[in-house]
Amino acid sequence: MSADGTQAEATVRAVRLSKWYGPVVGVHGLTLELGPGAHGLLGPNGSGKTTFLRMCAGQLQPSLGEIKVCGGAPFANPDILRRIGLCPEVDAMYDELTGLELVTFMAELAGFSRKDARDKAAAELDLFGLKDAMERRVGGYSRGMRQRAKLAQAVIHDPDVLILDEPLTGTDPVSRALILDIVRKKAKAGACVLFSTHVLHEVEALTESILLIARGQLVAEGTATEIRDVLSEHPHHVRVETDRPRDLARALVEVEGIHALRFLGDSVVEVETHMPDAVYTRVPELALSLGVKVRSLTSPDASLEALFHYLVERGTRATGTGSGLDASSSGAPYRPIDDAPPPRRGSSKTKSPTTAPKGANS
Amino acid sequence: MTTPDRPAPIAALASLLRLSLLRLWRGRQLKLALAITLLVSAIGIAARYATGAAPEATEKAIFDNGLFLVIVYVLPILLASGALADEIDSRTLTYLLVRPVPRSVICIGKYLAAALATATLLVAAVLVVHVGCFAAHPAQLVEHIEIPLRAAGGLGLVAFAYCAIGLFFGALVAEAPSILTALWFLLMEFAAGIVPGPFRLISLNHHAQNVAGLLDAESSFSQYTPAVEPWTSALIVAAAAAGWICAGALVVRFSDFRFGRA
Repeated sequence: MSADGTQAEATVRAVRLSKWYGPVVGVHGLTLELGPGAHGLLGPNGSGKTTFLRMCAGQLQPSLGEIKVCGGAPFANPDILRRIGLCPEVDAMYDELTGLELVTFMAELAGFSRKDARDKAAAELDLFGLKDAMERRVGGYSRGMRQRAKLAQAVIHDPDVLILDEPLTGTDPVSRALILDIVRKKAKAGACVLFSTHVLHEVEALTESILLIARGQLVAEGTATEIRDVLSEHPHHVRVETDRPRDLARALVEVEGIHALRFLGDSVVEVETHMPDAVYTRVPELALSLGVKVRSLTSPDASLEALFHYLVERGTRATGTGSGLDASSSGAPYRPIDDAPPPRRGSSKTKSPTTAPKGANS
Repeated sequence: MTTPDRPAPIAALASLLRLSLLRLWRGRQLKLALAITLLVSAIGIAARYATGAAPEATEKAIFDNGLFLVIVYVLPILLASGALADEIDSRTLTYLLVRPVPRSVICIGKYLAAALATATLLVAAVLVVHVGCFAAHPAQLVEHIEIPLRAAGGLGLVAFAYCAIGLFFGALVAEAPSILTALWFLLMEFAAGIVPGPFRLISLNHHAQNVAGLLDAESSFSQYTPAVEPWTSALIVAAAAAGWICAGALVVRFSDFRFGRA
């Protein structure tokens, strides 16, 4: 409830939010505001996604800054927690209970009467395709079934803010489609859905609102298209292991889009390019024409991790502070985050700009 | 959105109690606790028939050496110290902490389940021992009922206190609740219960034995220990149980439970 007694809108607001564990920084100076709709939180393992989500779900207290969900601090606050649903990342569940018992207990603890809780749990499990398995113990469920049961307990009370920490991990295609469909419906119904993953296409399947988090900081946010632009701008590295790296390098110099060549040891040449497809096409052709043996053709940075390193390092170069990004100097297609009051995401009225105020840093 | 109002604390407590008892019933710890309790009781009863000792004396010896010196310490370590700690360790506590229920209610719900299970096992053991010892003289079963009734009262009462201690250490240090609880029992309960003088009054076990009427006035150095009325001892044990569970609830209220760490 807000100060005037009305129910606050489904929002998540973080201001200079930080969390550390001794010397380890989990989240550092995160400032954002999210409104109704689905929001994808994208980042490599250990980037601070789970820490942030746990603070949103009232499991962790911030070390510094503040987090407000539906207008109030969620930590140990039942009035706010009743509006939050959490599907945690951990696979652990009450394995001794049946699916129906588990979801029924969670519904009772969410505020339903015993009978209503059981009826609602049965209906929710049916919705998640667990009708035939609801009387079986959760310990015997497959990974996909466990994920669906976890999601069922998270949405059983129809929360305003739904927090999903890597909900698609280990799921089969059927479970994946089912989970995405239900989450999409919740978002359409007006809930604020926060969805974390380290796989870009998982977020794309759900939302256009994407937040990139790395080393506990929000390094960029934007639509899937904007993030894709960043990805395509990201210099790509291709490593070619061959018996004659210098001859191959000499020929590769002529290939369009190559910025740099580097020798790694006696048999590997690393190519830096913005046109990786051209390199992948030309290397076999050149090898054939030169009579060079190519043993392997790999990319060390095919993962999102590389993109995050790139974003953070580019921000460091642009600002010279080692801690920020500056779109105005780098010409980046993504919007860096600043400390100023953040624009609301997920609201059609306040679409976020794609350039940052001068001097902004993350 | 049709989000329900937060549950009333009593309704939430009842749900948590049922959830915890169901998990205990289906888990391994309760079976292990039952086996240990039955084993100790059976050994005592077997000794009575093997030696031909008087049933009253044997019964007192089993209560004193088997239940008050062994089982009453083992059961809370098995059933209470892991009640929160295991959930913190496996991170299933997340499911409870995200519910609109005060954290103190979560703590008390888990505590009550462990304490009820422990007290039930102890009282059952007392009855088994009584029936076992007097099986050859059924007419005396009711005649000698006062000692087992007082023993059941003392054991039940101290079970609630010991479970609160176990739960507190489980919430405080989830990595080693059993070791810490065992150390506390060894130093503050067992050792303090046998040292001479007023130090014995520190031990809740001493008070529980006083409630049970099992304190031996002839034992070494007992003359240096101030005499306390049984009902005063009962109050002391009950107050200690309340104090420990309040301390546990405070830890649960403010703790992060290391949830942010990978």
